[in-house]
Amino acid sequence: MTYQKKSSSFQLFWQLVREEFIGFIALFKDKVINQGIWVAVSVFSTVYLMGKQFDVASGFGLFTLTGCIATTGLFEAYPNIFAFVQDFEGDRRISYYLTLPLASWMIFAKQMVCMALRGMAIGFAIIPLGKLVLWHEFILSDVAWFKFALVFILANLFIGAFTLWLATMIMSIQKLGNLWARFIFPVWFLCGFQFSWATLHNVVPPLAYSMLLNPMTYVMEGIRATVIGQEGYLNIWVCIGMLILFTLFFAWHSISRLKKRLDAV
Amino acid sequence: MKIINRNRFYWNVFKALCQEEALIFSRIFWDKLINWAISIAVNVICLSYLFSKQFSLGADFPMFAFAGSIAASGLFEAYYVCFTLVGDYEGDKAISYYLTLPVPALLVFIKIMFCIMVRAMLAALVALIVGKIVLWNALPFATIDWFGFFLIFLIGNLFMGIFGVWLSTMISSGLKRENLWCRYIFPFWYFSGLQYTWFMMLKLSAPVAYFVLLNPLTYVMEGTRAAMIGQVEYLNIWFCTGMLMFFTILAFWHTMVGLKKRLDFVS
Repeated sequence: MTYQKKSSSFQLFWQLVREEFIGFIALFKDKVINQGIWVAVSVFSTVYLMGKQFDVASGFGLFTLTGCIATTGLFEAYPNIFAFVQDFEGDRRISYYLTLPLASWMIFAKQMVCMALRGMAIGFAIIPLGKLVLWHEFILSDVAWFKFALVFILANLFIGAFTLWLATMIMSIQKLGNLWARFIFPVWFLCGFQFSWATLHNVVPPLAYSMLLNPMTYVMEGIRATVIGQEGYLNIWVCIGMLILFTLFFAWHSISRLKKRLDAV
Repeated sequence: MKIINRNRFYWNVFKALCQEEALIFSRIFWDKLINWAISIAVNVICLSYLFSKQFSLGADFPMFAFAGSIAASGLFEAYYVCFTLVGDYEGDKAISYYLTLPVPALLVFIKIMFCIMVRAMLAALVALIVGKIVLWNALPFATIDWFGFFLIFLIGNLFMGIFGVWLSTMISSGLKRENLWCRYIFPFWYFSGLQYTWFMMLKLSAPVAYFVLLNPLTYVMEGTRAAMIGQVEYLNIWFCTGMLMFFTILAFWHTMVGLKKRLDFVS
């Protein structure tokens, strides 16, 4: 009986994920085009124009591309947070889902999983584009694909949990305007989007150690270690371990806050 | 006499509209100030001290990158206002109220452009102060051509003010606002010379370099760098100023044509 109950909850959970994903497919083309333009323009300009301007050695392009791949999910965070906060203060569509015969934590977990899947879908679409722009500089056979897939999935799951957590921290839609400039942008830029943790450690060691508290650091370092190679980056297994810890923490904390905020059973 | 009284009336209405905008902006002013300061500080620290070390970009890179950041700071304000305007055209149409006022419609739009210009100038000013604090000796104020900088600063931000409104007229009602940044503004910004000089582009590909001269932001970038770093290696500052004025007038004219079509108002 308990097994049947658990099995039907799981089925309902995946139905909800499927429902959300079908809605996302309508937006997928637009999102991929937007992200694709961002990646192509950034990488092309950085490698072929800035690289020539400052006579930079090779490897510059792949470094930039891996930063873009790692960041893809984070760019989805802001509109998702906006949608959540708007829903909390407006229609409260989420209340309908809380009436379903499913534990409330599964409803919130479904949101995280959906955000992770969206980030992964867009991120995977970017990889072939990166190959087209960089060609010889991006050798697909050099990528540790199993480890890359692991880090990539974990990174997007973390971003899903992180997005939900941020949505619970924003008390009103008026405060949302400050979120990008004061929180997401510094988290993104200081995590190593344009430099490795090793470089940060050489220049400002205290800041480097404080950035170990920034989960995005492990996303960046992990992706780079699997695509470019372990040398010069944080150990991949440390990155994976820390990402799991951060994901669990943000998932737990956001679910408990949501249960209080929405008065869910 | 009648004309003087009428013009005085229009001026008073324009002042009142600007005061209204200033009052609204004053409520978010400190928030904006903090956001601008954090964004520029993080950007400058990462680019100048970390990115340049990562790839050994040389001692000139911090100033080069910072001048580009100053030049582009108004673009974000223009984008923000454009985003708001497009939402208004397709939603509440609050602008229709202003078009019912007993003043030429031109005055209403000049007020919007002027307000974007002031916001853009404030953002650039904050960027300059914060940049100096972060870069300190790497940003020597004594070597800046302040007259040239001020000229480019003024005309560049005036162009941004008009550009924000122009862009709002070019966005079709079918285009989603979310696509505005990635498909229009971002390429426009990146291919204006954000990370390279025009002369470097000319060495790589002359046809593309001449094509890039059609991008007005190129002149803002090159002019700002010429004033802050020195004329060598950049487009002539007077040429940049002249082209910016030309594009500003062209954009203004085209904006008014586009607004008349979009909002169907009587002048």
